[in-house]
Amino acid sequence: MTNSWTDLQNTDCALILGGNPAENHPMSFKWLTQAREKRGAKIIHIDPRFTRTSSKADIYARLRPGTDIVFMGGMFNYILQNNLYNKEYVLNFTNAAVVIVPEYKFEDGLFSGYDPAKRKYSNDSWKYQKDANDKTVTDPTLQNPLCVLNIMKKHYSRYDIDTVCRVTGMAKEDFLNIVKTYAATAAKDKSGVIMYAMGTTQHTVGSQNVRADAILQLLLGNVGIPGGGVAAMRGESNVQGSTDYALLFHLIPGYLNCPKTIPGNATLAAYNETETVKTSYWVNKPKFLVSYLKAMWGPKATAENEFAYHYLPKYDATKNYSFIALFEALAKGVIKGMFAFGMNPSVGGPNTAVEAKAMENLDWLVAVDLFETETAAFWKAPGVDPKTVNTEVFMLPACGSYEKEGSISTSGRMAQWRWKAVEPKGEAQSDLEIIHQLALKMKAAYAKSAKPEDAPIRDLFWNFGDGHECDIDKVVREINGYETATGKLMATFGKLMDDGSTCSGNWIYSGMYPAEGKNLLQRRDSKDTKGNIGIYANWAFAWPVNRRIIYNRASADPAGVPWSKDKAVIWWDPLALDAATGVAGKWVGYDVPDFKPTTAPDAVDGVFTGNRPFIMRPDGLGGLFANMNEGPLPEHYEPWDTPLAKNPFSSKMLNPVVKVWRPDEKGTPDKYPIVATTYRVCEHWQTGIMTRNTPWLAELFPTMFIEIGEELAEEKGIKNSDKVVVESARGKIECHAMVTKRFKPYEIDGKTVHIIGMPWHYGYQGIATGAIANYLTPHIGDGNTMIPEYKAFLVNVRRAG
Amino acid sequence: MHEVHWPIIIAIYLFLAGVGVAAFYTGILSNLFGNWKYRKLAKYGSYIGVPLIIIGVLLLLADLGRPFYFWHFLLTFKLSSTMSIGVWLLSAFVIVGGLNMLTWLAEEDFAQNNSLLGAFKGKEGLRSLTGYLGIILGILTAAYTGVLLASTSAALWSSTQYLGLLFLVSATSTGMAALMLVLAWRKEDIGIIHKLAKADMIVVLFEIIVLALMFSALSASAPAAASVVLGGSYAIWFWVGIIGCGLVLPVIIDLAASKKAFGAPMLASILVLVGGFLLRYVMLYAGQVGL
Amino acid sequence: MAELAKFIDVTKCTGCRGCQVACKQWNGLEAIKTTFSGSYENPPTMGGETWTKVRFFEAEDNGKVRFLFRKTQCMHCTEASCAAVCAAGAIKKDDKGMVVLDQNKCVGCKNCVLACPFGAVGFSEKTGTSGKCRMCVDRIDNGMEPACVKTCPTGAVQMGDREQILKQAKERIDFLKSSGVNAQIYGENELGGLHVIYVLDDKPEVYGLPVNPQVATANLFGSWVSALVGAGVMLIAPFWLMFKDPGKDVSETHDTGVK
Ligand SMILES: Nc1nc2c(c(=O)[nH]1)N[C@H]1C(S)=C(S)[C@@H](COP(=O)(O)OP(=O)(O)OC[C@H]3O[C@@H](n4cnc5c(=O)[nH]c(N)nc54)[C@H](O)[C@@H]3O)O[C@H]1N2
Ligand SMILES: Nc1nc2c(c(=O)[nH]1)N[C@H]1C(S)=C(S)[C@@H](COP(=O)(O)OP(=O)(O)OC[C@H]3O[C@@H](n4cnc5c(=O)[nH]c(N)nc54)[C@H](O)[C@@H]3O)O[C@H]1N2
Ligand code: SF4
Ligand code: SF4
Ligand code: SF4
Ligand code: SF4
Ligand code: SF4
Ligand SMILES: [Mo]
Repeated sequence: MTNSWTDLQNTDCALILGGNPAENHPMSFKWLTQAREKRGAKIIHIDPRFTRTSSKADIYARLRPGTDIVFMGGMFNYILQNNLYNKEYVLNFTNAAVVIVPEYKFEDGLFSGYDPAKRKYSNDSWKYQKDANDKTVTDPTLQNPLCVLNIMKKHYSRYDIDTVCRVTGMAKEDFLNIVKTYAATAAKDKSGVIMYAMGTTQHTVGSQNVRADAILQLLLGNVGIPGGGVAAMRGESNVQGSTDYALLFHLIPGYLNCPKTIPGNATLAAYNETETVKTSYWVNKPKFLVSYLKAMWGPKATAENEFAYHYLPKYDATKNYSFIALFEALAKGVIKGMFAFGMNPSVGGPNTAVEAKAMENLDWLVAVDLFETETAAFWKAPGVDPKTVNTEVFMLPACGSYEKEGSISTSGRMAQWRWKAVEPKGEAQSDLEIIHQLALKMKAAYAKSAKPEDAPIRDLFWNFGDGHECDIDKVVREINGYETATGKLMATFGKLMDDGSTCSGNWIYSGMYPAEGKNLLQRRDSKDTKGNIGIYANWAFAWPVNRRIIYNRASADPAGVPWSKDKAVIWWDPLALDAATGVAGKWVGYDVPDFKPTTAPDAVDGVFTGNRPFIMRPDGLGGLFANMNEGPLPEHYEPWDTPLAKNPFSSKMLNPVVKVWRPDEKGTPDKYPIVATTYRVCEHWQTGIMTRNTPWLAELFPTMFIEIGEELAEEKGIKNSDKVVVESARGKIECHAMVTKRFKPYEIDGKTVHIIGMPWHYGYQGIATGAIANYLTPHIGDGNTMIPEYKAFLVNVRRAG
Repeated sequence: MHEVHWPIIIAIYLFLAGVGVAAFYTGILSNLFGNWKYRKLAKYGSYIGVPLIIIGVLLLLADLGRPFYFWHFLLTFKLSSTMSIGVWLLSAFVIVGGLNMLTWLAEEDFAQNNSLLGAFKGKEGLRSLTGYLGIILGILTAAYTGVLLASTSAALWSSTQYLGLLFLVSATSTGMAALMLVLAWRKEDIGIIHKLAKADMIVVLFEIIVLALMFSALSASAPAAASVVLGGSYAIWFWVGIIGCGLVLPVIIDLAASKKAFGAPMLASILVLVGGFLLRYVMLYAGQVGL
Repeated sequence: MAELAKFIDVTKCTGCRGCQVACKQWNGLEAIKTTFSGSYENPPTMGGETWTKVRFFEAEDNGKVRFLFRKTQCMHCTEASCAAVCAAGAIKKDDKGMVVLDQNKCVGCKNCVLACPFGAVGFSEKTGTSGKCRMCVDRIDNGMEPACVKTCPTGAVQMGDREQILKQAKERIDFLKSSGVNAQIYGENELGGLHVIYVLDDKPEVYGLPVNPQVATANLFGSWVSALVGAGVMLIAPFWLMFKDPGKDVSETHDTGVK
């Protein structure tokens, strides 16, 4: 989230697209409800089905799963054609006026630079034009056909209302109503927020869906202001924390790239050279990296050994290590051991029957969990003969969140401390303790080893206590960082150094423990602070530096004056004295400025340009045009399973950069004419093992079902509560049918297309059981993140028996 | 099947309580109107009534969620609670009717050497006092079984004011039938049996009128509830069981049967009793549809 | 003490069912073994172990689908049918207007279950007693909000002074009406005034609420009168007609008939 949950109260319009917050992020509706009451905010919900969120929306519209870019392209087109965008903002704060090199082309669904053999782009032709002085060429008059805004205009001119409605199935009047309502937030005193989650991301074009959100918000001048921004509603209660701390194969903590087997990463110096963008705040990256290495290997990380840079594993740049790829590797028998640490892929993974089968190749599996999940029990799943599975399975009972101390990070980047409420049951231990014991045992095992490959473990700096009970306070201190010589805690990451004199496990959290006795995560002051705009600065701690609205420099115009009084966050006060320097002139306001506090709006100060708010970007400008794997602008491609014979926008059906793992397992409309999507219900959590084992929750939705519209049910002779069989190119399941008015057939390209939906919370373990939805979903992922395409695939449905 | 809070055991209780008190008071009333010349009816009425009531009360207790806490009822007396009135009526009836029965038992051959029963021998005063009291308590109790249902929020029961009356009339009819049945079984005087049968016919006539009044009122005030009985899942039971077998057929049998045989009145009595039970069952269950 | 009331604003309710679960948790109520219900609603009815429950309704008005939610619970009626019919004296109204069922006194006769015009009481096989919302009087007495209020993420359920709540509800109605909603208040005058005040955006019947709820004892007097008048007729007619003339057709022996 660029802003925070509490900031939703400031919005004038919430565009909920690809999410169902009333059910999956219930607390969001506390703030949205307040926005409605206090300022008459409008809620727009766009979803293939009518949900509990839709029930509270002022405008609801349906769209066929997998066509969000079509809808957004339609929005861009309408907004650009009718000049509804926020001109001053777009011209000054985004790269709209930047001129692109003439080699840039877009033809029949492909951008220039595509290599069909590798299914990859070279982005050489997507660059800014440079003049003789290597300065970026811009055209503030927006006349140059190669300037970004004109490229966009041309690109999205193909997304006219008729085509948009024909492809998405949305009603024209709904589309117009939405675009007009939401575009009104371009006004300087208005803000709109886009709230999204998995309806947006779980597609082969998921990342470009998110890009489209960012583009729209930039066009309307909604980034950096209260009630605006892009609200990525994070999933698992601590998934924000898990990405911040790099539970991802390509990152190390704080969103630094994990070293790869490329020449540019061969040494620390080379890494710093390749990975550091020198014209943005990222210029400080070497400081973050060295401080991280010092946290990892402590005294063993020295200037002489490149601060133990080589202890970091480097991954094969030609390979992918994300979820689907891991399971494909499992299937091939490449991977022999697995930890399922608080994860239940046998229910949650795509095409999960294949995945469970692949697990049979494991020599060993360690399941660390509260329950015996379907994953831990994969060897005795229905239809599996345990005698044929040779995997040795270890169950380590973990304790739940109430049984341990620690912090979690919310979508608003806010890390909040939790104290232990009850003692763990039985032999359960906290994850931290389990990892602590593992680390100690491994260090002991390698203590005497002289083998270079054992050195990273042997030398690991593990200073959290030697016995049981890992000292969590020490962990927090190390993440925050301290001076390695004195142990003095870092007040902010601004003080981190690249000479080994400081350490910090995760630079973005540096400052959460700025001084002895001040673990800011433990703060609980629910009084709103300055400005009463829902900043609550003294409640816990948000990274970076307790900032609640990032990019907030953009809340003031180029001259540093708030766009409107109502939407003020920070502003330039020429008279305010900087305490450190005694110089007059400072950014002040309600939130921590996302800018160098003393850089005046008209100044250029190192990497900061006073009127360019996006300090993490190389040019300080919001990227309407920005490089992604499948191109600089979102373009529509159909899902892997599509009901259409032809993509109405080009001859390219599928996102040209996605990897196709299982070409045969593709659903076609002749056999599987019905579009299906999967989702959550408020009453269950994820793979359901926690909620299906909680009788009070099991009672609410006791077993697996599909939701099906009255029209399709009638056609198929299905009555409410009947048992049905749902079949895809991957597998089939049996469950109940809920016949409802909330699903309606679509008119797509002159053809009637039905859609059904289903939760994916069920499995065969626990109190409440039901068929596994993921037997139906495909093993294919997005072109950038590889997130599986859970949200749009094809099935057929019939009555059981 | 729809949800049932008061199950079949309550239907049996309502039925037995009705038969019991009505057997008691019809016996005494016949005797009373007959210038004390039908002692036999009064005696049999007492013998039938008191045990049935006791069985009924036990069934009621058995249906409680916590039967052993039934004494909580005895800590409360509340006019707004029909159940409370009923509890007190039943308790009083058991005592009054019980004393009445003892005065009869004391006259039986087997009681002649029993000192306890001996104490009740010849207590004519006590017998008539408990008899009069029993009539009042019995009639109130019979009405209570209907009013109990009426003081709820079930539309079928609470949308008219006839349910108490209906149950009272039906109880009277079943009480007479029970008396007849016992008399016929004991091969008592056929003439008395036929008198009772005619009296019962009059009551049945009343019952038909009350039913008609009630359902025409219900069709206006609670049409949905009425149609559950008249045309819905309980219609067969109602038309064939209650109206056909319970009301019309006994009358026909009584009218057609020879005046000398025991078989016909026995059959008619059984039909009336079955009809009476069905009436309670149907009204009880149909009333709980859709709650 | 001033009367309290609960405010349920269905226009803010997202149907999350948090209240339903919170109530079970705070009151230690048992989970029901349910089966697929064909809708989002489950368990199918209120019960001794389910004191509050969210009802779901689907409607379609000229092509526009609506998905409606209403938290149901005991309304804490001023004219409380349940209290009126309880023969064990287990249900009492307190000075705040809350109707509280004391399970220690309850014998489990289920009369209250059948008497409540809102289907808000149920019987529990587990305890052998009936149960219903007690407005978390234990929490209120200790300065806390009811568990369901505390849980409600949207502020759709609130607790307060009845006067204040009514005022708030009316303001909300005015606000909703001004934006074209067919807003209605429910509970102000029904059954002498309920202590649960609803703000609805449609007619009560759309939300499964009785339009003109009657107290269960409304017919009590009439029923007794009609029964007793009927009894009068019955006392006379058959017996007078048939038995006033003893001896006819009856053998006059001591043993079998007329003495
Ligand atoms: N109660 C509850 N809350 C949860 C979770 C839970 O399991 N239970 N899980 C948590 C986690 S890990 C996550 S990631 C989040 C997910 O939060 P959400 O993204 O809100 O979750 P979903 O229900 O998977 O999907 C949201 C909606 O996307 C819609 N949708 C499907 N296809 C499309 C499409 O092509 N376009 C658009 N615009 N919409 C589409 C679905 O109909 C659905 O209503 O929720 C978190 N919160
Ligand atoms: N079809 C379909 N499939 C999907 C999705 C979809 O929308 N549709 N969504 C996807 C998404 S967004 C996600 S995030 C994944 C989630 O997939 P998973 O992460 O596999 O699912 P969870 O059920 O959240 O698994 C969490 C496990 O952690 C355990 N646990 C809970 N607390 C602790 C703890 O403190 N310590 C330990 N060690 N264990 C703990 C739980 O018991 C549970 O087994 O599923 C994905 N799968
Ligand atoms: S995670 Fe669950 S409990 Fe926590 S705020 Fe969200 S909805 Fe409430
Ligand atoms: S709603 Fe029902 S249970 Fe609650 S007070 Fe009224 S009658 Fe009693
Ligand atoms: S069930 Fe309990 S609370 Fe209800 S009326 Fe009977 S005794 Fe009273
Ligand atoms: S007030 Fe208390 S008892 Fe009543 S519904 Fe809410 S949580 Fe349950
Ligand atoms: S907790 Fe609040 S929002 Fe959720 S269902 Fe209950 S009343 Fe509605
Ligand atoms: Mo997620």
